[in-house]
Amino acid sequence: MIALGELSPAALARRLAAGDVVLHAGPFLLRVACDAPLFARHLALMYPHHPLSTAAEAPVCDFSVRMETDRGWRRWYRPRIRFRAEGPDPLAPFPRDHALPLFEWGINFHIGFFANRWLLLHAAVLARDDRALILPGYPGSGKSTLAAALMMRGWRLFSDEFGVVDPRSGLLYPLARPVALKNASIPALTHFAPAAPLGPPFPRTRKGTVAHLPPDAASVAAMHRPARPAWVVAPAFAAGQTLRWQEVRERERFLLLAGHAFNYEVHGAEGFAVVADLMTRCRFARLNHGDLASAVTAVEDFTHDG
Amino acid sequence: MGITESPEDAPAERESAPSRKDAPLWELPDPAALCWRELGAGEFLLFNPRSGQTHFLGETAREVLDALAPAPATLTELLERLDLHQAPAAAQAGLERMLGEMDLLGLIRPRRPGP
Repeated sequence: MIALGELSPAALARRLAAGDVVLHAGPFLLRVACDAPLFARHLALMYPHHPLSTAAEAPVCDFSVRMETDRGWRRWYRPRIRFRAEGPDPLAPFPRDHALPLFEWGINFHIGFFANRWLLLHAAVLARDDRALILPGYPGSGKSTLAAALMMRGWRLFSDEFGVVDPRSGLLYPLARPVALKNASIPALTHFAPAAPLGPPFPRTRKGTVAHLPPDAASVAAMHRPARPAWVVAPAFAAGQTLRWQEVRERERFLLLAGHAFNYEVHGAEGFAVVADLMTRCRFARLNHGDLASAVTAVEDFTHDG
Repeated sequence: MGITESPEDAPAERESAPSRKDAPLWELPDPAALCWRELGAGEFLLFNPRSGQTHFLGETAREVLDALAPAPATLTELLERLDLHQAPAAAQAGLERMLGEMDLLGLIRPRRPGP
């Protein structure tokens, strides 16, 4: 199996136009079709290390996505692109040159609503020595930025959005998809890690300016290796705030995990048992911070001695 | 989200005990299916597979459900099982209110006495 980055840009664009790209992203197979050449270039920037199959090699996929560009007059006047997949079509069209953020959000939507074989926590997840760090949080808490920075420090990136838990084993599985950074997080990360291979910025999206950081080669190479949950750190970023750790009481632990899950109810008693085990198995804390570098150091200290 | 707060633990003040006429028989359906986790400090997590809901419960609520587990009971019988039959009226009224809240949460259900 080849990696996506081994294809020439022209070959990737041809295969995308023919719907002959099946991307392996952790436990999911994503079949992708798109006739916009710019999307092919952006996909190559974000998924260069990911294994790639043809549609014939992987005839059954988890998600089959068509990124459809406008036809007719709108092909020339403010052209748009749509995310199409099985099931509902909740995302409004984006400008055609914003295909990458639309693709990423569309995939997130479909995983969050349909990947119910997994218990899906709303959290960024990373791992070191196959022990997983869960960063739960609502949008704006800074979990994606912290996840990106920790990956730049050598942690294995699982996801900046989903804690993918196997309800039978309680293990966390990687997705190894790009981290979406927004607005002030973008310069914060480039200041912290000037070598971070950020993709192009996409201004004026519904969440402001967005730029993506691809998972590193090591994270992709190990994307089928699960990790045992070890730590839960709930980040809360506020500009200028002094770094402060806070204890997380038992009741809050449950809310941090189940209250932030996409499909806790779907899993019934099994989901309850998984969350209850995470509550006792993991070391918890809330991290209030106003500076990325000091937050990274604090997390590394917190996770260093167990 | 399917996560609810516990029925209040503190008994409410009432001027008089409620009427015992036509008192329902309170039943805890399938107690063996309930999933409990103790959180410490007198708090419990309870997953009820019948409703799919997860509840935070205090110690008094846990005692009530434990007391109902062997067999349904009227309020009077439950007061006896909890050794509260000589408790002040306010405590008895608080227990009755808690039973009503547990009914609303789908944890227990009333059985009216037959004609």
